[in-house]
Amino acid sequence: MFNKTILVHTFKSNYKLWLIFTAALSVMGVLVISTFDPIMMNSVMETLSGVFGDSLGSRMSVLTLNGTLARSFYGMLAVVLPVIFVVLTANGLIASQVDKGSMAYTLSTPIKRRTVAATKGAYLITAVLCMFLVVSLVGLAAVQVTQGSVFGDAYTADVKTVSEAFGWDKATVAGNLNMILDNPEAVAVGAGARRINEDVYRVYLQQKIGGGSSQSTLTPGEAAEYQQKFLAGITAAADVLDTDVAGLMSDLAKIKNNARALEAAATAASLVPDETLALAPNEGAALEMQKAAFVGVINAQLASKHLVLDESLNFSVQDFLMMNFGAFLLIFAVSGISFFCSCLFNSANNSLALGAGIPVAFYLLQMMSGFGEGLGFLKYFSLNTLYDPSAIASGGSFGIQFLVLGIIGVVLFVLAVKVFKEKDLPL
Amino acid sequence: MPLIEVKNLTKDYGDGRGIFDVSLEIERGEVFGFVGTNGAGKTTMIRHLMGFLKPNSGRAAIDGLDCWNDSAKIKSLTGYIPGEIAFPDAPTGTDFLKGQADLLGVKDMSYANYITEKLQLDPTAKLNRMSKGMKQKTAIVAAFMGDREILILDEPTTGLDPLMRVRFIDILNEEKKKGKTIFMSTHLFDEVEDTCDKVALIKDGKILAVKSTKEIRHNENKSYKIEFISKQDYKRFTALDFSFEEKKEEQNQVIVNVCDDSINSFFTVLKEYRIKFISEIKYTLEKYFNSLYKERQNNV
Repeated sequence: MFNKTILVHTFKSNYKLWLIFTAALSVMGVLVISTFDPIMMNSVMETLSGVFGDSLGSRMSVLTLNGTLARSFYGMLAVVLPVIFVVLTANGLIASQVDKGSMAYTLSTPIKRRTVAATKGAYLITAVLCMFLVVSLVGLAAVQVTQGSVFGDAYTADVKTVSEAFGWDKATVAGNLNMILDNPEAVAVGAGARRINEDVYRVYLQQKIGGGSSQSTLTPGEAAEYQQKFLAGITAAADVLDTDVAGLMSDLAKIKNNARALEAAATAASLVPDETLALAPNEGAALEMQKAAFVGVINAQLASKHLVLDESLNFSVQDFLMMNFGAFLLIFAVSGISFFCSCLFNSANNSLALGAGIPVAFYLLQMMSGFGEGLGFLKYFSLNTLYDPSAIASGGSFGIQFLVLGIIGVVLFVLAVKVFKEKDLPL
Repeated sequence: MPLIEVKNLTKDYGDGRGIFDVSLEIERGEVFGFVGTNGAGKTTMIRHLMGFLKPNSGRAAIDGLDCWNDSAKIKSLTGYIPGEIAFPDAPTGTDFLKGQADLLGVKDMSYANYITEKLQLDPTAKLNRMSKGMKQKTAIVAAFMGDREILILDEPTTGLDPLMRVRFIDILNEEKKKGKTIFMSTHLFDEVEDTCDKVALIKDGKILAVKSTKEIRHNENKSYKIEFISKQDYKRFTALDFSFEEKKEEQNQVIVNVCDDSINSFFTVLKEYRIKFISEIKYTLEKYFNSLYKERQNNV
């Protein structure tokens, strides 16, 4: 079935291409992982919220490291680069040797055609498998080194910065955030690391130590009323600032920085209960109370947002491995197409045209299907649709898709060997 | 039973291309020449022997094994020089030959080295820098190093200079002495005459004739070229009842075909004439086949 000598020869003349692509893909993966910064990314996405138009909650799957990798690495590079590798290698394994005529030397030896094709196919599959193994391992190492979240806990940016600045142990600080809260200097450093206001940072720390939201004491009815009041305040502030409510919601700090807006918002919202307000000695003091209450809510909102962002540091090794496995299966199926073309055609040009054309078409169809409602149907014409790394990252189902990819790959490789065995060769 | 047997083999590529109803028999130890112009179907025939092509009908067999179904088994009996020179990826000739030895299962490189020396090949040169002749020599070594019983050679002397061609024919004759069976295609007639026992002529995919070279060399039909001194003699001679192949009036020259059994009467007649010179034109394979071509065309 397989021939060791042919495998060794094939390896010798192909391993360089494999090295180049594997190295390139690994470097790209490391870059994506090491530059991962959820806080930064969130602020970028907030400025783009007009485009995304979503809440932090629905953004979460994108904001995690798994989500980021799914979107920017496994959704693009980890498909495109291996496809190029596969197309080039598959064509070189059979079709170009038949076209050139050098296959005559291999086939003038007592080795069966079936063995030749099967061995070369096995090389291609193994090369792709090894590529993703290396990328997975390098990826895990990079996650551990830059984010520290494979083995043990990930530390948030403020914990890391503060620990380094004060020479504290990260684990100790993370376990006892009061160390920061009790030290004004540490609070300043931590707030800087998170790029937020010190007040907000304090609230964030308190919330984090408290292990939840500060609003949890309210009943649903009260919460809804509260929410409504808050919204009224925001609307008033938006009028003053001459912006829209949605924009202002994602950038609450703006209200705090504008005295007139804050005053309008505090008055409109009037969050302070009347009985408390009655205690105020005069109207000015009452307004101050209203303002303080409103700022308090804003701070709590901003803080809880950061609390949610911390969640994004959670890294799922299992999801990561599944993404790699899925990418391997997709490339396995694609390599089946390229290898089949390589075995079918005697001309390297034809083999390359279809062996590269079909995978590229699949990629483009999948991309176009995301462009608009009208083009959505295109995804049914693309093999790439069966591999959806974002679904893996956000807990969607993918088992059947994986199975289909695997079957397509196996069938194509078996057919390729059969076709090569039975065709006329111009050697 | 012949070692190589082709029976009514047809491979039709359409437009009159391909080979049609070819039957050949090559005995063990025979050197068989396969002659034809470019595109006559020589390579197509050889590809069938190597099991690269599947016949539309008929069959080819080597040592009783079907060339298509048992092609892998057959290859442990054969050495092969392809018609086109294109090597697999290998940096140098030595690397390529070693790789080929691995695939062939050849452990002892001494015969390969012998051929290499005989052809004055430096296999350490880079494969893609090699001249056409060097590449051809490398291909020859690759085919011969297995020391296989049957050699299938598709235009093996392409790219070799005349000196190396002679060397190569020496090697072929050595192989022949060892009792090997050689199937060789070529478009050079003299090459065939120097080595082959039997020759087949193929044209437009059909075998025109299969002849033994001995038969042709000892042909009794000879041709003579004669030039007369005077026009008068020329005119007088051409009026006689001989089989003239050519008459050149300006030079007073004729080419006349004379069979060995009438040679005496021919010279008796010739005594009456004053001639400038007379020379025998050697009867070659080329001539023989050219006459076959002509016959064909006349028949059509």
